[in-house]
Amino acid sequence: MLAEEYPERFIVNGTFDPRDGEEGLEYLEELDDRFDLQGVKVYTAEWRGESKGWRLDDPESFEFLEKCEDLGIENVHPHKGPTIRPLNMDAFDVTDVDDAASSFPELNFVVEHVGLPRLDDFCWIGTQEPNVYGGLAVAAPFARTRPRKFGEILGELLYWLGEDKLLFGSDYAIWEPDWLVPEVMNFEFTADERAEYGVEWDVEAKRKVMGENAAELYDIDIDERMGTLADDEISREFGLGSQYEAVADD
Amino acid sequence: MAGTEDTSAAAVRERVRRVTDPELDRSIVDLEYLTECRVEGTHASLTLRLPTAWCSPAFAWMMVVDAREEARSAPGIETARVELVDHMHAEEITHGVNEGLAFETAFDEAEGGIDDLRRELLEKARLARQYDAVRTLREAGLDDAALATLTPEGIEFDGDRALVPVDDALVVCTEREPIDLYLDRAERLGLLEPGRPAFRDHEGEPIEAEEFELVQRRARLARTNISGQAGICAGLHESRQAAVEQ
Repeated sequence: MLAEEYPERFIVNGTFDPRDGEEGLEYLEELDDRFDLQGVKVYTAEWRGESKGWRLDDPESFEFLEKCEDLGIENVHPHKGPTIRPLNMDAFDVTDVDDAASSFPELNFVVEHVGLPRLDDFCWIGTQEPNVYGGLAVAAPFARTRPRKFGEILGELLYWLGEDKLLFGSDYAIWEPDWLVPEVMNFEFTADERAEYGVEWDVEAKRKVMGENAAELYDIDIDERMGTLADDEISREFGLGSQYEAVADD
Repeated sequence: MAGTEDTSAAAVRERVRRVTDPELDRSIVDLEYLTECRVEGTHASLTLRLPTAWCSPAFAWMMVVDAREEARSAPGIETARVELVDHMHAEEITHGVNEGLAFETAFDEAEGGIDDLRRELLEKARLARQYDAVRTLREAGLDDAALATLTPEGIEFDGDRALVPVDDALVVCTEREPIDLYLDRAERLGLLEPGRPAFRDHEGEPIEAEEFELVQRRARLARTNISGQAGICAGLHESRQAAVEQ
């Protein structure tokens, strides 16, 4: 597969589903053996058989989080979508992250699309739990389509979580990073927004959110990696070498 | 008689305008969920279509139930039927609501009713509206100490203005609407009592003056979440409308 062919260009994350029980734990070990996992992506809202979702703070989930700890898989990325079960509960509840994060302080929890539409609950948790991060995928396109909404959302995230705990994501199967990356990087707060939130979207913040924070979670030495990528097969084939030349700090 | 029916349909629509999407805290009429509103004699027929077929069944239920109740309360209306269309649970919800069933009866997989969920969402809406009300009053000159202790009876209304006497000499005067909007939600949650502070933290408790700023920021966050989600739903709704109209 592509990631095994170009290991310098891809980081493969695993996955787990607590409803798979013992088999699931074994499968996670197999994935770890094969890919030397540093992270997993999990879908708490995914249907399976009779079950229409699970929670990160379920006892079954805790077994898997313990296994992650044992195997040295440090990063857990919960993608939270609308869950249908139980029918009378909040379909978008993100509060399961809270207990999971405080019970596993050695793991990092990157909540994808920052918990929208429960951004408020997410920020409240993220500001209190040092190991909770926000992934910007799905929220990022607002930078083009609804920039002032994006300003509000980014303002809140920088206020409650700070620039060290946000990670850019493109959800590239749906949005092309080609336009999305520059859109987010070129985004500017208005003077009012800056005054309201008391935060900056400056070069330093951008470097962290667009890459340095992820690099830290995944033990990537950026300079070293840039050196490797500048001259690998892909760079040579597509003429990408120049973009890896080190850029002097402003 | 066409004129009377048009008037009745308009009257029903105005009543139904009070129904809000529980997550977006906006009128389902303004959101264009109400695609049909007819009156025949004393019977009202309504149709609701939501932005997606998979909108939370619990939220959908709330909107259909509330729309039916409001329609029935319109002058000259005795019975009302609301049909939810193009939704994964359209049949169960349409049938259940119009038969007057409880949510947990219509959906036997549900664990209990939806009162708790309704309350949770109402709380978020209240907090979001509190942000605007407080901001309005702060801009008019009220300080946090005054805001933390402001009681419902401490606010007077005159036309489209709200008046808050600060002392014998000073009255703060603001736009009425954000205050009204906030008090509506606070009242629904049973938080408005004479002698008790009108503004509360995210758990419904009175606020210490020193904590007022933190609560205001938490309220701002609630508002950002709601309006952010409104943006997402609006995008989905536009796409769906375009598809339907083709």
